[in-house]
Amino acid sequence: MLRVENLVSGYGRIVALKGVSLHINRGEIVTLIGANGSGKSTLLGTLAGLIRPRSGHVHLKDREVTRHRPEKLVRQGVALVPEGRQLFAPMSVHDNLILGAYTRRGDTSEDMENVLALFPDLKDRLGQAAGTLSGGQQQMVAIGRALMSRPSLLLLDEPSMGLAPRISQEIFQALRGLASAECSILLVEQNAHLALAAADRGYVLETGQIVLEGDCETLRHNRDVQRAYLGRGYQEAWEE
Amino acid sequence: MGLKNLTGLVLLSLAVIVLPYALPDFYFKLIQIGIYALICIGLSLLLGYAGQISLGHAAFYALGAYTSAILTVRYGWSPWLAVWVGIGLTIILALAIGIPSLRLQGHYLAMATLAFGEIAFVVATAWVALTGGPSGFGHIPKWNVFGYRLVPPRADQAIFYFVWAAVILGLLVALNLINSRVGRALRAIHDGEQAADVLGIPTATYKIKIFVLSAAYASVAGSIYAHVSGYVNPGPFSVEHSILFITMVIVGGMRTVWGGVAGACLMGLLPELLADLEHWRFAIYGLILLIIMMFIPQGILLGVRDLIAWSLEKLPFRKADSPGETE
Repeated sequence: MLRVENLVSGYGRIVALKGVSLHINRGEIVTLIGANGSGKSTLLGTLAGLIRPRSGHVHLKDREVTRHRPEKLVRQGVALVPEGRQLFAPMSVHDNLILGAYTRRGDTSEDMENVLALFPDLKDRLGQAAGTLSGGQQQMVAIGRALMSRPSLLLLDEPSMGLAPRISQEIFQALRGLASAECSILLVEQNAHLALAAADRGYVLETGQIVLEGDCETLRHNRDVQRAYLGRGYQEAWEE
Repeated sequence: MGLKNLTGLVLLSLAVIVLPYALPDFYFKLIQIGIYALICIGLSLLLGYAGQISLGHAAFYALGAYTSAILTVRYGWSPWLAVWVGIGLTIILALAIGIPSLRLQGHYLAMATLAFGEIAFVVATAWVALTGGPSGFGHIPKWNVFGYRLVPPRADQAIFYFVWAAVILGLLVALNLINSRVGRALRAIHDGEQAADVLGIPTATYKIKIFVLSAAYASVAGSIYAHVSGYVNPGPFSVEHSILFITMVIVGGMRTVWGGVAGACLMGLLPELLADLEHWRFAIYGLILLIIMMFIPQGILLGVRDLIAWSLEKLPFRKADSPGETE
């Protein structure tokens, strides 16, 4: 589905990704965990076409898409749910969702129904300005907006940020249901607990490099991961 | 287009038709204001929907005016043809300025258009052979509308109708644009450029197109101005006037193209009221801009609407009134 080889990318003189390679299989949820400044958002930004990589290759469905512009990538099936949601606050929920289908011609009412079936909370709020919704509902709009383009690869940048644990659970459950043969998911998270529970496989990113990879079960039991991302102290990890 | 906008257009059309009979001593002041309103409609598309500032709209206004003047006087063209040449030249120049500066994020367009505005003003003043220089360019033929020449003495009314018909047509085009897929995309660019990028909206292309369109509005306004006044000189085309247009749009309200019309009317009539203050005029403009930005940043149009809504809510005894919104 997605194959990234030796990707080097960054802003200006700062190199935030120093040769990252990863892949996502069809229908998989893959998570990328890492601390602040490890390069997670740079990776997503590069995959979405917002940042141009210095070197390396990105293949989507066996086609090279390196250095494509964002609008081209959207047409090829990449949709990004940006960090902090980035809704169009004064516009209605309905308009926000419709904008997600910008690159598509033709009828979008079926997709709208699908989004509303996935997030029934939004049903009564279609006419409301997106900026007046709660954080969780805004995240739902952001995910729904990305789904409107019928992506085959959904990129999510910290969907749990600033949300109550219960709401995060709800959203992650919805994501679980989304992954299918038509839609694979790359989930970037700081909340490793949630991410490792929801995903099939995971990568650990540290200062621009992948330091660990494996299925989520293995990662959850890895000492380093437990210590650094799951909040278990040296002592607990040692005693186990 | 929405019932509200349609009602607004019908009400405005009725007001335009009735005004020369209702206020025979006053309506002709609205001829120049109508020309400004046309520029402001275009500018509000750029400011309010693409989030970009142009300090060169007076220059596009000049381009339309001088193209029409020169082609009709020197070469005997029909004004109807000259308008299109003006629009064509404006599109070429706007593309030349817009493409390099709008591909970058930030306020490069403002800088580039500021320079362009200055250059255009200098050209209009100094290239005497072409433009007539500071003393101007006269004897421009009046516009010939369906065999009905717009000439004095009883011509004011015809000119007034002609100018405001252009304004209403301009509004119609702008409103149709806004309430389409394109308009939604433009608002998205205004609200969050990167988020719009991610949704596959080609932000740079849109900003260039909307800049070109808004420049074309100014060019048409310039052509109309040349034929209505019969005389052009560099005076009304300085960068100062570009700033005046921006002020009108901001004062009227950027979030709707109606704001451009409202702002042009208010700011256009203010000099009449402040005529005695000659040198203080621009200081007062600045003050008004400052006050509106601080207290009613959404502009007078939406400000008045909010005020009506607020007073209806707070004063229960007035509930019977129906709010006369114009948006």
